[in-house]
Amino acid sequence: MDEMTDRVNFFTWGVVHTVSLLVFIAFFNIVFAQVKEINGWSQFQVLLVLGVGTLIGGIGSITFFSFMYDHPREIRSGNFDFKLAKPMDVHFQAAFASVDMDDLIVIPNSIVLIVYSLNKLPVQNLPINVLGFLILLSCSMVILFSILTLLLSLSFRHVRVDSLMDFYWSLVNTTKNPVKAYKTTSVVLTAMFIPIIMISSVPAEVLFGKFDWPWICGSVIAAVALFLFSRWKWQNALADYSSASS
Amino acid sequence: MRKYVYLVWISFQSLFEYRLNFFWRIAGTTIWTPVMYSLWVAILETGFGGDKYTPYTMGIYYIAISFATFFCQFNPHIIAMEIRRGAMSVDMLRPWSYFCKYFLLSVAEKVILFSLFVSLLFFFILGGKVAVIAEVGMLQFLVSIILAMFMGLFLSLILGGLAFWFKRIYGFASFYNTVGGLFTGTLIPTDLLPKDLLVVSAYLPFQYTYFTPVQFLLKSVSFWEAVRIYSIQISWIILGYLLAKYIWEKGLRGYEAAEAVV
Repeated sequence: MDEMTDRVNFFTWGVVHTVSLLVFIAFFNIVFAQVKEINGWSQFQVLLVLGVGTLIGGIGSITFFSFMYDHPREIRSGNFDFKLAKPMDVHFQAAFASVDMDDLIVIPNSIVLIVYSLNKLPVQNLPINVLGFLILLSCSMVILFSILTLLLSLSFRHVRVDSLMDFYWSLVNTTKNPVKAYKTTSVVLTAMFIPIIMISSVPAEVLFGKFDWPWICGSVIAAVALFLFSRWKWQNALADYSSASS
Repeated sequence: MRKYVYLVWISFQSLFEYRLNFFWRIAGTTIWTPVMYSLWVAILETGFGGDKYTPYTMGIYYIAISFATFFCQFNPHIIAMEIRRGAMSVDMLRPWSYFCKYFLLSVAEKVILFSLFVSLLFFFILGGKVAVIAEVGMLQFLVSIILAMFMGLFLSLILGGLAFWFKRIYGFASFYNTVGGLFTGTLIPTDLLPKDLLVVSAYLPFQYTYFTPVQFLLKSVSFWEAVRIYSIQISWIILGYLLAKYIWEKGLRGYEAAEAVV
């Protein structure tokens, strides 16, 4: 939480995140000023996906995103050794070592956008939708956490993996797009879009009352399977750790 | 002069030693680019933008924009970290210009990216797959993208130089990218913006970094129009250089190299 001690930077971040969201909203407003819907997705459904994608980014920031910054640095400096000596799960220690408060503002911003979009949509059975949304939101966070764990497992072998951050942020940022509205015949693109759809589009759909069961079940299964696989991969990679850089 | 050649050599060594790192940087774009492209294909199907773009030209547009983003961006956080940790004082004692060092250490990455992209374009031209790219457009594009790279360099030096006064510059750097997002052409091709925003964007540097160079690939631009665009880019480079120089002179005058590692 030491980010908050540098107040100028902290408040600049607050402004940055707000402006960033406004830029995306402006972008979709420009598009929807001339278009009624994109492949069946209305303006407020798209804004809801934007809100959910932003919320997921915000929750990730205050929970485990610091993992992607701290872990490669600790491997390089050799400070990771101290984690091995502690009587606590190493994966847990590495993933939840610090909280990134810089991005705190993202959460209220995204909630405002979600509530605003929901108000503009004809939603029925909201309590059930919210319950389903919360379950799927948890699945999204597990999927993102598992992907990050898989990527960071590489740092035990390839010491310098700073650019993983760029890759991971690209993935997180793409979740703000209504990817489920895209039509593609390319197998590669479809494979690439599936996790992005599961992370943000599926929870957003449930929130406005569209229960697409194959996707919902797929999200839950993917979350469990990816978590187990990433955990196994992490443990294996940990065995490769030689502490050479220390 | 030889020391600068060594810096370029070091940049190549570092790139090849940490090649996986470079790969992941490119991989990040391979997610963002198809997502944005697919979004635009879906939008274009609705009739948005008239006949300015087809899915085909939009594909070229997004490949070129991704390259331009990579090629013209520098990392100001490296500078900020050196300033914050006091390492800048060592650089000040060394017989080189820090601006040159910062630029030369990124040469390897730029050269590899440039080679990859130019090879890709030549492949398209020779294969006759992209009729819209003429040889003249390629040449105009190359001049423009190099000028855009220098705009990015001085911007990065300005943002990095803010670390003389502020411990962290992440916020400032992101603020620039965020505000620029709407005008650089990464989110929406600038010529598809509403008229009011189009007027505003003409007076800002953003569109001259990514969007304008890419336009040389997509449509034929007259010689004098190209000269006009280059002049604007050069003006922004000069302005950026002067501002960077001012910030660095002022910052170094008060620099104590005693900042704590945060």
